[in-house]
Amino acid sequence: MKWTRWIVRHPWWTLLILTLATFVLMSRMGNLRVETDIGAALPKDLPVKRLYDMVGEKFPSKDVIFIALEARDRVFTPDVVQITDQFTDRLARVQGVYDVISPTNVSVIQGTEEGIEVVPALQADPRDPQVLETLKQRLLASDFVGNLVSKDEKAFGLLVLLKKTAVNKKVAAEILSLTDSLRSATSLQVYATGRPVLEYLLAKGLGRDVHVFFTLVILVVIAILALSFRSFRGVLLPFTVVIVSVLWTFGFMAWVGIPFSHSTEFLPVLLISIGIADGIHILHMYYHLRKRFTDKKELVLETMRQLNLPVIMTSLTTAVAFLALGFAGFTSLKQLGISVAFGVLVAMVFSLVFIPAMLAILPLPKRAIQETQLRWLHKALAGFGRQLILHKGLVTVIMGVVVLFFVLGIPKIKVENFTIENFPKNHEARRAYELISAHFSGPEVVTAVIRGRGPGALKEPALLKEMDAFKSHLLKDPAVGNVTGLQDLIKRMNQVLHGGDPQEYRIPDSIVVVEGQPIPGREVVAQYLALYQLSSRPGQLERMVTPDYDMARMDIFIKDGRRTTIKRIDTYAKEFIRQDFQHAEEVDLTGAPEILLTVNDMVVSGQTRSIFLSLFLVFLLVVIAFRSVSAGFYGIIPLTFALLVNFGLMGYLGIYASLENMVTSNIAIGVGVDYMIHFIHRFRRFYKATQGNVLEATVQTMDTSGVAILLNALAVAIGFATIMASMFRAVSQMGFLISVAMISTCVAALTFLPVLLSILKPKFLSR
Amino acid sequence: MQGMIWLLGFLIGASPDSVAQQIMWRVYNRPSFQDMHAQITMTLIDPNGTQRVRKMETWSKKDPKTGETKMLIKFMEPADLRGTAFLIYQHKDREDDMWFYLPALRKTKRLAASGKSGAFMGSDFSNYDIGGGEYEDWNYRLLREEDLDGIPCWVIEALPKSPDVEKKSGYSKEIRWVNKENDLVVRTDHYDRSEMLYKRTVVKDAVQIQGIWFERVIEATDLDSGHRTVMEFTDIRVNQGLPDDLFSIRALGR
Repeated sequence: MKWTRWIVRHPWWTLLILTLATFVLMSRMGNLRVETDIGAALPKDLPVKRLYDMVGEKFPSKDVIFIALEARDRVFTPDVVQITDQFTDRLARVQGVYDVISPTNVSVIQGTEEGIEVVPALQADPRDPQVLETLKQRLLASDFVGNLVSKDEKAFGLLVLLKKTAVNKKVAAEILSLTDSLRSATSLQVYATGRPVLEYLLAKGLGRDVHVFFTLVILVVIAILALSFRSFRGVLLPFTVVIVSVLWTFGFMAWVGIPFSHSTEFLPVLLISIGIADGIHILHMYYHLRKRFTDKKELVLETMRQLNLPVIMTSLTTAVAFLALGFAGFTSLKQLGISVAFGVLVAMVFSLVFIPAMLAILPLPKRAIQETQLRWLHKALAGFGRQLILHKGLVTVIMGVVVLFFVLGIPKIKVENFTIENFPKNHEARRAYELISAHFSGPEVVTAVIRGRGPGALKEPALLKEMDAFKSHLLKDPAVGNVTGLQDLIKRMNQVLHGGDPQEYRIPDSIVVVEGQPIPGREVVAQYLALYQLSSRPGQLERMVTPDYDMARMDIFIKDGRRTTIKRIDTYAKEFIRQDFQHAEEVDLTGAPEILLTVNDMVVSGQTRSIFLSLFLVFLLVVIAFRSVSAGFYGIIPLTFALLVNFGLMGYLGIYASLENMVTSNIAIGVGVDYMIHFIHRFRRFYKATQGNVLEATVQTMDTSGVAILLNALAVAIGFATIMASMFRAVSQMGFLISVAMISTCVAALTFLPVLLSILKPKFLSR
Repeated sequence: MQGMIWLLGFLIGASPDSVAQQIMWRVYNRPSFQDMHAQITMTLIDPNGTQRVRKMETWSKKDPKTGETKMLIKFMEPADLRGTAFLIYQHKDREDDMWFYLPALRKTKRLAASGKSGAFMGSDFSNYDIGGGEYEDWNYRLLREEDLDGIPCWVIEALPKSPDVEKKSGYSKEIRWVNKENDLVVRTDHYDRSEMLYKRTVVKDAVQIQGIWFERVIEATDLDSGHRTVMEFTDIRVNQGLPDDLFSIRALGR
């Protein structure tokens, strides 16, 4: 309280100090990094991520963009072929592109009468019917169907391999602009997909979302403030608090090096929705007490005397609940948690310092809050409170049924993730993904990394045969479209060097008998590789095997990126790896889908951990605040109810447990506990005042705190509902869940809590 | 005929570009050996210093009438490639003829390939770097004159004359440093098809043999990955009258 006195006495000094501090903190805001790599959300020591980075180090290319060119009729026309060839060329010139594999430039290995040829599929002008026919035969003859040409011959597929040094986002942007101009310049339908494209479109959409959210939440907050206080200061002061807390938090992030990322971009909406509560409470009290004071400084002092403690208390619990996100196991969530906690505390400080300073400067408001304004609401809640207590037995039963209902929904929750389903149905990203999934080998790539026993190991026929068997094994799964790797090349070379005999489309044996002489198969393979390397386009071999031949990669093309699909293939692949890879040192799976799979698995354990931790921390704070252990339980039991509702809803509505939704529980706990604290605090006062009359205490609490809690919850719920405007399903669902959580914690505070308190009458109430 | 063209260019006048054309014409038409034998050691060096060595023996011979070259390359190292051989007849006006011999299969076959931009045996040299270039492929422009490691040089920009050249070479541009004293290209910066500098070849050592300058040690560096290849010629023997028979297809497997 000393500080409030100082503030009220020296309001101008206070403002000066705050302004200076704001400038200091914002001075480094230019350093705020923007992080768009979703992989950065992951802990650095995650094995699947390390392996993924290693693939980027050992092989020249890591990520792939798929492009499909769909013709009205057939693709084998001079026009379409020529356009494809020119487009291939154009793509190859994009900065960051390692190579383009297209139906016109793909290396075709064939036997000829005198020997072999390794040539691009299209060798001359496609307007020559002979050339066109040759191209068609080459493409349809081999395993290019389903990879570079669709089965119905209506579409060509192109694979754009990105350099490991490429900035994926930039390459994706440029390629999308190229596909756009090709689409408008020709009669072809042009599609592009693949992880880099999806991530780019997602980032672009989220970037737009953030602007929308920010604008909407500001409008909502201004509207709520204007409606509640109908005064300029009533809008300006709480609004300044939240805006400054956002700015300070950005400044803080710049100082400590937290980037602006997919997680932290929700920060402004979170902070504004949560941080506004303190200001509302203070101004509410200020107007409420207005009538009793003629001196403005006395009015401010009395307002703050009543609210300093609750504001500190509720802010601390919120901050602590967010800090618990740090234990969820995701770097970006940890950063979000720390930043929101910081922002909430800044909002607290500004509410306790800036608002009283301003109020000490501004003249006394002319009017007080009209007590009659929301009279109906006060009456309704008081009446509701009365009925609750009168029928507490029935209410308990109903609550039990409700809880049971939602608990039964929880097992229905799917831990699922399917990036593409987040896009709206008609979004180009979704159509591209679906077309490429239907007509080609698939838009998702899981990479198997095969480590041999030392340099040269990948020339051993025994290991190559295992890789070939691995491919056959994987292809049995209907979602696996294709598997590429060194083994196919060796088989093809073996065939063409044996006069094209289909029987010879195989890996050479470990000992090959030539003219009666036993020759190690390894030498045969080595010479095939040398021959291929001399005659093919650059980088073809390097893409599949390291120069030392100690490590190879097999790319598994998968038709859908649904978590359950990837999980199934992962399990199926690992079964083979465990039992049948006898000649490899180690075989591991990685790639974006595998990383997402790991993320999803972590979501479950991380979420559980962070929920329990934040419940526990909030419990501790409530225990300290009320100096009573049982008060702690009364604080968190209603919260638990709200969480059960949330998870039950997810189960019933088919909302996947995803990274985005992890934040929901922490928000529910951090914000919801405020309602419990307010309610218990007020209830105890009335309980003591009425000598333990629970009915009277409930009615009085409902009439005062109950209304405030309900309005507060509605305001925050509407604030978070702005997130539902997102075009992405997962984000929109997150907005929905948070809004519901606000309502359900509020309902828990206004029903669960009074019934519990009146039935059990805990001792701390009368202390 | 080509001398005439050169003379004509000289007479018409010395715009900087025609100066560049003349310089590069001299570079491509430096006197050369009638035939040559050498051992080539190619050392491939990873960014982290790991080295792999490839050794081969080469013979080449120029047809004095057509100016076309025949070349035989036999691998000695690594051991599993020992005896693998390639025979190449370079042609000025059509695709080169190529044959190979794989000792493991005891087979000699003809190879039709058009991958000149391909990396030569996993090195940082492309097949184009090693022997695919033609004077006529490029347009030249003199950028400046400067000293490179104390050697006075012309700095010349070479741009592909046609999209085909860009495709077959894999380069959208080259900057070449030509030693003014002996017309040797001592350094080339290669730009990839997205016009980014990505490779540099540098002549580390040149020797004069029978009055003719020859690049004995060349290093190519992939500037993206830091991977390097050093190609060194040893046991160089020239103009010793290599028999035509050495370059016959039958002789490949011997």
